[in-house]
Amino acid sequence: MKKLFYLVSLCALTAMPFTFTSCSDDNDPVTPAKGVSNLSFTDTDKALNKIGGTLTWALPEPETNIDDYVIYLGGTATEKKTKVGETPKGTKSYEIPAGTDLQAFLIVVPRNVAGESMNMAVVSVTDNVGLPIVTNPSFADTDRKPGQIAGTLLWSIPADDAQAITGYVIYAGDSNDDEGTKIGEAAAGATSFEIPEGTVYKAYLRIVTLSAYGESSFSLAVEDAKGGFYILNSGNWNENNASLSYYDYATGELSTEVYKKANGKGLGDGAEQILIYGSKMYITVPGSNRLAVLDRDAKEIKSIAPAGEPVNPRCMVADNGKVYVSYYYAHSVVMLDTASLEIEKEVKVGRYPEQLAISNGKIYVANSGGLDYADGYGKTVSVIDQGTFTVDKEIEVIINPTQLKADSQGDIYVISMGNYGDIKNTLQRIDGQSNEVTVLYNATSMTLVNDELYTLFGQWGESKITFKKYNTLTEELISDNFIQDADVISPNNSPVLAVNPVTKQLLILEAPYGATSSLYLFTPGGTLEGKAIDTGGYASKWIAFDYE
Amino acid sequence: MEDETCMPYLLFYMKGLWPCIFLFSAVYSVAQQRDSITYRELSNVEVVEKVRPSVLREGAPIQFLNQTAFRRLGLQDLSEAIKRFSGVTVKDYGGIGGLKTVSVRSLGAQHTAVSYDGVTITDAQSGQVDISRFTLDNVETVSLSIGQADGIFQTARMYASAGALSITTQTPRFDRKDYVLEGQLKAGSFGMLNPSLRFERKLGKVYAASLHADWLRADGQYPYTFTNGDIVTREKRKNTDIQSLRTELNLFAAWGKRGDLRLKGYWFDSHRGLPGSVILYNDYHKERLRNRNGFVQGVYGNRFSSRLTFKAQGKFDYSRVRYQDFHSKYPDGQQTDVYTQREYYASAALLYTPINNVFFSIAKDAFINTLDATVPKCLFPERFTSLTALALQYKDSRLTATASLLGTFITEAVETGEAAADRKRLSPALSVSYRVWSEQNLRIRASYKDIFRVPTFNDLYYNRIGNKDLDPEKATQYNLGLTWSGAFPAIRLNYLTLTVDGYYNRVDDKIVALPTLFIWKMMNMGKVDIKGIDANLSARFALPSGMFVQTGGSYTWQDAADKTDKDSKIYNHQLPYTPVHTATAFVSWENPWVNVSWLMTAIGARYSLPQNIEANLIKGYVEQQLSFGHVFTFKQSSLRLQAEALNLGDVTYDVIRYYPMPGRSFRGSIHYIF
Repeated sequence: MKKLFYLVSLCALTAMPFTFTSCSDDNDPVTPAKGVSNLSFTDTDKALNKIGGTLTWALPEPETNIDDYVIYLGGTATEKKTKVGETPKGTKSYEIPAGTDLQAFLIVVPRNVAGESMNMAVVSVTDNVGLPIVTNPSFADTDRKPGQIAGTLLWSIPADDAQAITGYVIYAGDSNDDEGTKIGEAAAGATSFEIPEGTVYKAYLRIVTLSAYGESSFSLAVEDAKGGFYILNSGNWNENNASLSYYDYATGELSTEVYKKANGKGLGDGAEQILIYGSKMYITVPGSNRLAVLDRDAKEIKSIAPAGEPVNPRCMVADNGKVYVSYYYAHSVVMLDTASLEIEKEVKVGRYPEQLAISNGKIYVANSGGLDYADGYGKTVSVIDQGTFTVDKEIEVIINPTQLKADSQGDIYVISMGNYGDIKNTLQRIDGQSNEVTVLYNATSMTLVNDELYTLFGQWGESKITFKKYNTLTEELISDNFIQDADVISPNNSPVLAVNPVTKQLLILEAPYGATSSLYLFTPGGTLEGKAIDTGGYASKWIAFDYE
Repeated sequence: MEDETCMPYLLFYMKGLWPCIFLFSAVYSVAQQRDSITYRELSNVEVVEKVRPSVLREGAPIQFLNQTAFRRLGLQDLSEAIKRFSGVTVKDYGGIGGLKTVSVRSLGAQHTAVSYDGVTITDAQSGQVDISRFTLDNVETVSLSIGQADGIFQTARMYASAGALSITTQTPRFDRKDYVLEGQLKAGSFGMLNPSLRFERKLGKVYAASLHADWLRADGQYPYTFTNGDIVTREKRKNTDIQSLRTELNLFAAWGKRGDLRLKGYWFDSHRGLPGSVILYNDYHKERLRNRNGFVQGVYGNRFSSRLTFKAQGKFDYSRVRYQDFHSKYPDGQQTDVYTQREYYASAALLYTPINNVFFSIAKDAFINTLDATVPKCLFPERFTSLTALALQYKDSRLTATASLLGTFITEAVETGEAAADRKRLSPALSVSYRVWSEQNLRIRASYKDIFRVPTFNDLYYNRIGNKDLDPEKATQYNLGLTWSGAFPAIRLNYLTLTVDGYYNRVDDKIVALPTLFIWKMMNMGKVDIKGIDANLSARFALPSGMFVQTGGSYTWQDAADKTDKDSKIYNHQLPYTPVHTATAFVSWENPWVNVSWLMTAIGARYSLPQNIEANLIKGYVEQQLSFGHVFTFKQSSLRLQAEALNLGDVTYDVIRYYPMPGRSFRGSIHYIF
C-alpha cells in the first residue's frame, strides 16, 4: 500500500509540470481565474424556441491556465443546465447549431485540468422568431372595367410561421411603400381574401401579416384588367359565317372565331345582336332561328330555338333578371328569365318588331314592318307594360322605325330608317311622360352613354358620314362633328357607331364590299387612333363591351 | 336596324354572288367530255344537219358534242354535256331542276347566249338562262363557242355575247318508213321517273312533223354529309321534289326553190320545291316554284343563188314564273310573286359570196322584251332592242379570217318613273385561223372580241335595289391558240386531236350587288382581269373486231383576279367559284357486248366569297361516273339499254357552298325505236 502511494505521487509530480501554467507560484492545481468577456450572441434561427448562430467573446488577457472553454445553456445566469459544446483555447467563437432548444442564458466557462472556472461569462438569449411573412401573393383582376378591381387575392404561408400568425390586414396603395387604404381583414389561417366588386383600382395591394412578434408587410403590384369588347359579325347571307370576335384592351389584339373555338361549331347564319348581362352573354342569330346563351367565356349554355316555323329572334333588352326578345317573324316580344333560361311570356306587337328599350316600367318596341315594304312599312312603337306584359298603347312615328334607346330621364330615342328614298333615316324622341314625338335630325346609327346620345348619319348615297352628339338631359345638341377623321369610311359600307362607356373611346365598324369588316378606333376627341383593324368577320354590326 | 334580304327569288338573279333557292333533287351531277372525233367518223354513215363547226379549223375556240357522244358517255341533261367542255364553269345548285347556269371563262352567266335551234333563249329579267330544264333526249348537237364563231351566217343576236351555247334538236330521218316512233323510260335514284315519247311523220314529199313529249318526276331527297365545326352529321335534302312536262312540236317544209321552213311550238311546265341552301340550325324550307314557258318560233331559209342565201326568223316567247313561300309572318300566311315575261323577236340575215372564198353577211334583229311582276313597285319595263351585224370572211383551205361589227341600240320605257337611258354601242370582233404548213394539220388561231351585256331588268328596276343608271358591263376577249390533229395507224391510233388556247379577258363596269347592312344596291363596281389556258385532247384507238377505245380529257388553268380597288382587301383575289385548276377525262370502250364509259371531273379548290381567306375556301373534289349501254338491233326497230352510276366514289362535295350535291346514285333507261 505505501509503495503504491509513493508511486502515484511520483507520477503526479513528474506529470504536474506539464499541466500547470507558469504564472502562479502556487504549486496546487487551480481552476482558471479569468473568464471571457464581451459575450455576444445573435439568434439566426428564426424558428420559435429554437436558437442557432455564432456565440462570440473576447479572450481573457493573458489566456493563462486555460485549456478550453465550455459552453452551456441555462435557465438562469448561473445555471449550467445543458452543455452545448466546448472549444479549445484561443478560439473566440462557437457555432451554436440551429435547432438548439431555447434557454434563457448562454454561459461560457473557461476550463483547465483542475476544473471549470468560477468565472462564468453570461449572455441572455433572445429568440429571434423572424416576423412571419406571406409568400407567392397573386391577384388577377376579374373586374374588367378600367379603374376598378375585384377578385381573389391569394398567398402562401411558410409552414414554420403559421402558428405565430394572428391575422391579416389588406390595404391598397399607390406605391410600394404607401401605407394605403384598408380594404379588409382576414383571419389567421386564411390564404385568400376576396377583393370586393367595385374596389377602386390602386397600383399596389399590401398584405400585412399580424403575429405575436409584430407586423410584416408585402406589397404586390396590381394590373388593372381593362377588358375589351366583343364584335358580333353578322356574316353573309346564307353563308353560315356569323361569328364572334374579341378585342382585348390589354394586348391590343383582336381574336377571331371566339365562339367557334369555344364550342367547336358555327354560330349560325345571320347574327343580329349581342347583349352582355350579368354572368351571361346573349346572342340573337335570326337566320338560324335561335338565341344563343353563353357564359362570359363564350361557352354555350343553352340555345333557345323554338320549334316549328322560324320566329327569327332579333333584338334584346335586359332588365331585372329578364331579357326581352323581339321575334321578327312571329311579330311578338317574349320574356326570357335569365335564371331558368325559359321563355315565360309572349305578347303580340306590331309587324316585324326590331329593337327594344325600357323606361318607367314599360317596354318600348319598334314595329318596323320591314318586310311589308310593299304596303309602306310599319310606323308605330308598341308600349308593353312590364308587369302585365300586355300592350298599353302604340305611338306613331316616322315609317320603318328600327332602333330605340332610353335615357335616364325616361325619354325614348327612336331612329326610323324611312323608305331608303325620299324619307331618310331620322332620329326622333318620344317623351317618357306625354308620349309626344319630336323629330330631331337625320341619323342612321346611335349609341347612348351617360346621357349623351352619339349618332352618325350615313345613309347609302350620302357623300360622307356626319356625326352629332346630343345631351339628353338638357335636350340640346352638343357637337355636330365629334369625329374629324372619319372620311376614310364610306356611308355605303354600313357604318355602325359605338362608344366605350368608361373611357369614351369612339369606335366605328365598317363593312366594305366583299371583304371582312374593319374597326376604327378614335380618341374621345375624335382623332383616329392607329390603323383600321380587320375584325375577322363579315358584316360586323354590334359591339358589346365586356363590362356592360 | 336591318332589313331582311327578303327577296330570295330575286337573289336567284343576283349577279353571281348570292344565288339562292333553285335547288332540288339530284340524280345527275356529273359532267362529260365532248367528242369531235366520233362526229367525224359517223359523218359518212349518218346524215346530219347542214352547218357543222370544225373544232380544229375555227378562228375562235369551239367545242362540240353530238347525240352519239351523249349516249356513249351516258350524259343525261345539258349541264352534264357542258361540264365536259373546257373553259366553262357551271354553277350547279344540285339535282334535277336545281338552278344551273353557264359562265364562259369567268365572264359570268349573263355573258353566255343560249340558242335553241338557232333562236336565242332569253331571260331579260335575270339575264341568265337556267339550263337545268334541258334534257338531251331530243338534242342532236351541243356546241360552245367562245368569242365569235366562224359561222357568220347567224342572227345578229348570236354576235352579241362573249360565248354562245348552241343546241340543235333532232331532225327527223325517215330511212324506210314514213314514221318513226320512239318510247323511252328512265328511272333512277331518289324517286326519279321519266317516260318520254317521240313521234316523227313524213307528210308527203314536202312536209314532215315531229312531236316530242316527256314527263319527269323525282323526290330528290338524297342524303348528304354535313360538317359544322367538329360536328359531322348525316342529313337529307328536303322540299326538293320536281314534276315537269315538256312538249315540242316541229313542222318542216322543204319547198325547194321557194326555200324551207321549220316551225316549232314548245311548252314547258314544272312544279318544284326549293330546298334552299343549308342554314345552320334551321331547316325550314317551304318555298315552291312553278315555271311555265311556251314559245313559237319559225326559221325560214332560201338559197336564192349560189352566191346569195337568205334566212329569216321570228319568235314569240311567253314565260310565267310563280314563286311561293309559306310562313305565318306573311299577312295571308303566304307570299306569292308572279313574274311574266314576253318576247317578240324577228330577224333577217343575208349571206353573200361575191367571189370564191369571200363571204359577206348582214343580219338585223329587232325584239321587244316586257316584264310584268306582282312584286311591289314593279315598273313594268319594256325594252326595244335593235341589232345589226356585219361580217366579212375569207376562207380557204389554209386561212380563215373573219371580221365583224355589231351595232346595238336599246331603248326602254317604264310605267312610272324614269327608265334607263338609251344605249348605243359598236362592238367589233376579229379572228384568224391559219394552217401553218399544208402537210401538217397544225393551225394557229387568234381572236379578239369587244362585247358587253346590258343590265337586266332586275339590275335596273327591282324595288329599292335596282339602279337605272347602271352602265352596260363590258368584256374584252383575246385568245391565241393552236390546234393540231393527226393519226398514228402504227399504234392503232386513228385520230388524235389537240387544242391549246391561252386567253386574256378584261371585264369593266362589272355589275355587282352590293350587300349593305340595310338594303342591297346594284352598282358598276368591278374590274376583273382573267388569264387562262384551255387544253383539250382526244384520241381514238381502233381495236380488232370492230371495237374501239376513245379517250380524251381537258384541262383549264384560270386566274381571274379582282382589279377593282387597289386599297381593297380583295384586290387581286380570285373571283368566287372560279377554280384555278379544272380537269376532265374520259375513256370509252365500244364493243359488241356492253359499251363501257368512265368519266371523271376534277375541280380544284375555290373560294365562296370574293375574299380569298381560309374561312372561304371550298376544297376541290374529283367525281367519277361509269356508264354501260348496249343497242339491240332488230329488223324494223332497235332497243337501247343504258345504265349509269354517278359519283362512284360517293364523294361529299358542293359546287356552290351549302348546296350539297348527291353522293352515289344510279339511273337506267330503256329506249325503243320503232
